[in-house]
Amino acid sequence: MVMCVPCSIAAEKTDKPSKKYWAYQKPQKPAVPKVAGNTSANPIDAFVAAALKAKSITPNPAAKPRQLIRRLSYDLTGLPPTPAQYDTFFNAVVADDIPADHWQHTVDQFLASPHYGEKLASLWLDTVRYAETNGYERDSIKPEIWRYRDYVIDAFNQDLPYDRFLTEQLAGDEIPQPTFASSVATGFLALMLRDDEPADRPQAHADMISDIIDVTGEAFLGITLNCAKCHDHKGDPILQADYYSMRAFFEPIQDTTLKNIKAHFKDPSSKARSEATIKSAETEIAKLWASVDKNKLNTLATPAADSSNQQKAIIPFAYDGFHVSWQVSHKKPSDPGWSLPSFSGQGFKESGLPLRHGNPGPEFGGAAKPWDPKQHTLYLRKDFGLTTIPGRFVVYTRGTAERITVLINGNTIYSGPAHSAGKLRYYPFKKSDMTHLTTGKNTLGLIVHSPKPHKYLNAAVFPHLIHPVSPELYAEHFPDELITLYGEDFIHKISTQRQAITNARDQITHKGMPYMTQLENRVMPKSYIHGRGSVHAPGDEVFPGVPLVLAESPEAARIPITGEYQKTSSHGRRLALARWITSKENPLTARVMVNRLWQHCFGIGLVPSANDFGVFGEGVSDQALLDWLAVEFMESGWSVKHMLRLMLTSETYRRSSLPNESSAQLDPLNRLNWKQNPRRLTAEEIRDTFLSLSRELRLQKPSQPFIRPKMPDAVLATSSQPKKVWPETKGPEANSRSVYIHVKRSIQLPLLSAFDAPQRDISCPTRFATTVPTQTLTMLNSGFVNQRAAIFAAELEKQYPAQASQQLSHGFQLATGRAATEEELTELSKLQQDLISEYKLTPSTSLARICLLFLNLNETLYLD
Amino acid sequence: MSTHQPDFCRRTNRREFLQDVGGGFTKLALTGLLAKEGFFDQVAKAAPGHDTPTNPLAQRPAQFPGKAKSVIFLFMYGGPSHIDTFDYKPNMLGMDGKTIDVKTFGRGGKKNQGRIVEPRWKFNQYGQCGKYVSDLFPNVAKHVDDIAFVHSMQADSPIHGSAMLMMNSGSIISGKPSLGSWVNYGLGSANQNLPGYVVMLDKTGGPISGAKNWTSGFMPASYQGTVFRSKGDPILDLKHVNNMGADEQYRLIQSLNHLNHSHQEARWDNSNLAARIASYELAYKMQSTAPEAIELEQEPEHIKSLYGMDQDRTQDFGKKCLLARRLVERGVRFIQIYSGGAHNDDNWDAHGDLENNHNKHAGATDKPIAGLLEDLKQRGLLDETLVVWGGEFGRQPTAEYAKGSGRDHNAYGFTMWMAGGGIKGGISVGQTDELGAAAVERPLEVKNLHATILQQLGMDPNNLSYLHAGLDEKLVGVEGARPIRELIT
Repeated sequence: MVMCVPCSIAAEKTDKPSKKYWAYQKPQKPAVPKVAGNTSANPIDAFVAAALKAKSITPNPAAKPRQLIRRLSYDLTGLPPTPAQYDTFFNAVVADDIPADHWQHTVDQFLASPHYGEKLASLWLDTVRYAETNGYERDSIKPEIWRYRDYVIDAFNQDLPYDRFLTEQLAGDEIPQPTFASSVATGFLALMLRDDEPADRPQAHADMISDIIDVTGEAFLGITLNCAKCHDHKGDPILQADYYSMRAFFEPIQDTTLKNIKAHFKDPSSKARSEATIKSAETEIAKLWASVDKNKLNTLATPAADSSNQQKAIIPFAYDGFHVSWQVSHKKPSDPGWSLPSFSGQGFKESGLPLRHGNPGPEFGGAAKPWDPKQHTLYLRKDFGLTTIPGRFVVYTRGTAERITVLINGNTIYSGPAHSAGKLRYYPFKKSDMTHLTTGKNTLGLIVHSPKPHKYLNAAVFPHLIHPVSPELYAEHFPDELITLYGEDFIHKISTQRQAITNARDQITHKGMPYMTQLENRVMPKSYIHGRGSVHAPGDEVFPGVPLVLAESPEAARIPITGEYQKTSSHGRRLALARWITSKENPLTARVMVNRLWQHCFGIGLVPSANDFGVFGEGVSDQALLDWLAVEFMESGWSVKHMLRLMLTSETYRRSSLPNESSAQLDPLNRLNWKQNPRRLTAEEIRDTFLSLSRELRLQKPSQPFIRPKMPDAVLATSSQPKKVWPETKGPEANSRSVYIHVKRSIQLPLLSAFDAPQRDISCPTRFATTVPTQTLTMLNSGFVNQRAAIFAAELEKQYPAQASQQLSHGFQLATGRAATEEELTELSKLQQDLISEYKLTPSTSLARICLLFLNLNETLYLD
Repeated sequence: MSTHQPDFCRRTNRREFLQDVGGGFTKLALTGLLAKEGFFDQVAKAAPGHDTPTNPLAQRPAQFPGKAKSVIFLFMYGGPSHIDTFDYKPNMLGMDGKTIDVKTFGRGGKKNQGRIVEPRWKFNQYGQCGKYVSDLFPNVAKHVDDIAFVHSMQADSPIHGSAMLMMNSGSIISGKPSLGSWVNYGLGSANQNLPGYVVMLDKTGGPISGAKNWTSGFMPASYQGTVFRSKGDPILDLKHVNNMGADEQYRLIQSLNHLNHSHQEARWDNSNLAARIASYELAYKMQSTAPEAIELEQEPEHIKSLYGMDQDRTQDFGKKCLLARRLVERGVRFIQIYSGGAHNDDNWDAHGDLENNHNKHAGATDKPIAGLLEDLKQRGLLDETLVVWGGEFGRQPTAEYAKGSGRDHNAYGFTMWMAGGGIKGGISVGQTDELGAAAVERPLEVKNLHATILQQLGMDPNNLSYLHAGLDEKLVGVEGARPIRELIT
């Protein structure tokens, strides 16, 4: 718990001057400047040219093609270009000239690579502090959280619209039609540090929720909300009340985990399995029937199949011109006794069936009442009288419902997919179900879930079956009669098979209960301001709301949880927050993301403090450009690939990174992009590159959730459980890409840690790139780097047996992406001779040493 | 620029080399090895990767002259029992087995009653100050006149993981830099050939949460602790995996430098490239300096036996204490030595048999710690070396279970002590109640201890800050903390 001095100075911070702060204004798309001499059609270049011209800075010329292809490849896949990629690229390059459409095509090809998602994911995983363990005490694993990592990779590869991407992470379980993927996305809510043995449980829980809010603020909005946890923000106009109003969106979360998510969601491959199950169960049922004397069935009452006999209906179907009145509610009734005859009807409206939206199919004709298309789940109730208890009681529906729950007088009779009989679905009451009926007033309740865009519903109750079914099926529907004919054992076997069919159907059609609903508090707790950040010092009550400074008025800051939000299976608060964040009216969301993409392509963001667009941040270097990009992003349908394509095909991206003294004097930090910024490879890129040079990199996604490559014993010894902490992955999968390495918060591969891979306890908007001697020791001496060098050398020898100079020149080319100069080759040959003659190395070992040198070259580790 | 002498050994010095690399171009700040001024600004803004200063460990002047230059933190992991070691509770004598009302909070939860476990060791008075110390630490006891005891320590958590984070980083919340990182961030390292922040672990393994205890948190990774081993190679990858000889490696680096220099010619503005080139020189030197630091053969026998290296049970910790002294002599800023590792009785976590547990761990550390204090003093190093002793919390006065002497954790009150580095000797600050259950007089928080350490090193604990995510983060928290003034000479 961070204790802070209460600070009241910010009370006046939300008044007008602060509201006028640029980042709180909705971005408007500025006109693309026309700049004399700018020949590029790319708007980015026009903005940059205008800014440079204003300062009389001459931009750098284009970089060399080999520098560009290498940079592009790393920026989009995190890998060096393959020799084949080099070849394809250079085939169309004449001298140093890259035809524009060729560059465009190359960019598109890299964007289409499956490794694009793996690279871009690291941007996002850093930002949301993705890790696979809880961080505290024994640092235990977060079950199934790796699925979230794969979700992020897939989202980038599929170019999932960014607004959808954010919405699914915050409320993938609350959106209409949640999917497996969208529920995995809510793994975002489970990434926080989690103290599994807290000294102060309420505070630890509060800290966990704070962790979600902090990262939501920084990652999605570029606001450092955490500063307002203990008192009003000292720099930005964010009040402590704002912090706790934001917190209220997450208030019901009790705990978050992806545990058992598989039990709720089935991946598409399970459909075939389910279908096979149905088939085999049907065969079993046929066999069972074949084993008994079917003639006995003749003693049963013949099933009536008189669908036109409406007079006998307990509740009739509506038909053309004849509406049957039901009570309908779009939201979940707050009173659990809503299907009791005594229920007041509050929240329900009288409406005639049938209900329809769109064109659900030719079989659902006739006049119908409109069905609000946004409402996928309907609650219906119908009172009816009985003078005697009928012999049978069969509920029928027609329409598009995928799942139905049938209640009678407050008792749930059935919940699941319906028995299908052509257009009809039917739900026969068993003998035990009949006991819930009374003479006098009864109430039938239905919960109908129909998620598809086209919807239709009609319903009825009959005292007999109104459609023909086989005597076997009839007997099964009324099991009591079956028992008297064939005994309990038989009906038990039949029911077991029938249940297997129901379950398998359920797996095919049922989208399941998203996991978050299991973990949210059913009863909404109240939200309070926590005095000085302590859960034990509750202050004023607060309600879900957004920071005052971002709202039109104090009233508008509070977000009512109504309409769409109430129809979710949980509380709907997170969906409400997601809708606000992803609204095109939100001034920050698009700007923050395009800035991250800019940083990705150019090294430094237009706002260098990518997580902080506030006054403590580093300011914006070119607001017009940022705003143009932000609006373009939204207009493109929030397409990340579109924005990257724009940036990567710009002349600005293709500029040389070499120094220019006069430009540097005018803009020493290159905030105006007169050159490209050189960059060091990231920790993951370094590992993947080394494995790629030794031809060991396994490019496929590993079959296991994550990998644990060899951890040096000396590092294992630093754990309190040296033998258990890191069970090593054996075999070729250990050489999978670094994005698949297990992210354990308390232990990290030394190579990754040496090259500034973040620890993922907190959001990392920008990585450091530090240089210290211990890093160099790893590069010179470690087993990992030396083994890669040795195998790199062995591969060169294989390719160029007994051709020492080719081995050297080809190795150099592979590592740096360019041919070595004569002078460089001379230096390398001289080195090899010395290693052999003075240090008595074999030619193979000497080549391994030289490959170690290749891996250590600045040119290998830096991109121009 | 082909006139470069690419071999660093043929250059007069690194400074000259860098000026050469800079090509006389002065407008661009060379934020690399030479940068001292402006460093805080740069790092404090957590600048984007491309702008990060390249040698974050360059030595920097203290904010004001400090008494201490180095810190040796003897971490008694698991939580030593204060009432069985240095916090004398004579009123408990004869109360063993008696059930009394006392509020406790440990891993077993909150309790209002318990069965007293009388301190299991005799206490005797020592030194001019007459300090009572138990028979667990008869050798350390001889130095009480150099030691300041703080008996009224309190921590936010009585659970190992979070309490460890608290003692090491000032917060039970993970992700904050540890004390040693703050020290190196504030002062840099006095010896570029050795890591500035060294951690020596118990032979049974690391403490709970492992590397989180020496993490640099939101600061660059260069500030994190380096694990130093007393056997084999002291630092990971200090030696080539296939034992490449020094000369051979030198030859390799020569060619590497040659190629790196020619690569840099056109990229003279990129100080990161220069820093990487220079790092090979530093790494090369570290390979000889670090093993030299652990060459205890150079030490005379009487020194080794002073640290208890001649006895089995004190040999291991004694060696680490002696190493710590040698590292201090070589300018390492912050050294942490763990007594105890892994879980349960491998450390001071005496839930079962208190006597066995504490006899084992005190027995392994008493002689070495006393030897360290004596050796530092006789070399005149104690004045500038701050020695800190303690665990993440203490232990309860009552039994954890119906039977036995095991004590549960106690964060309501416990003892830490400090010696050297401008700390007053022979004094005791604060008190727990007569059972040692909770601090009652001058309760002190971990941040007061941290503030005292920073203060002694010449840094204002309330002014040493790092801007992270909009907050001016400090080791002592945004609210700040005062040093324990009674301890300071």
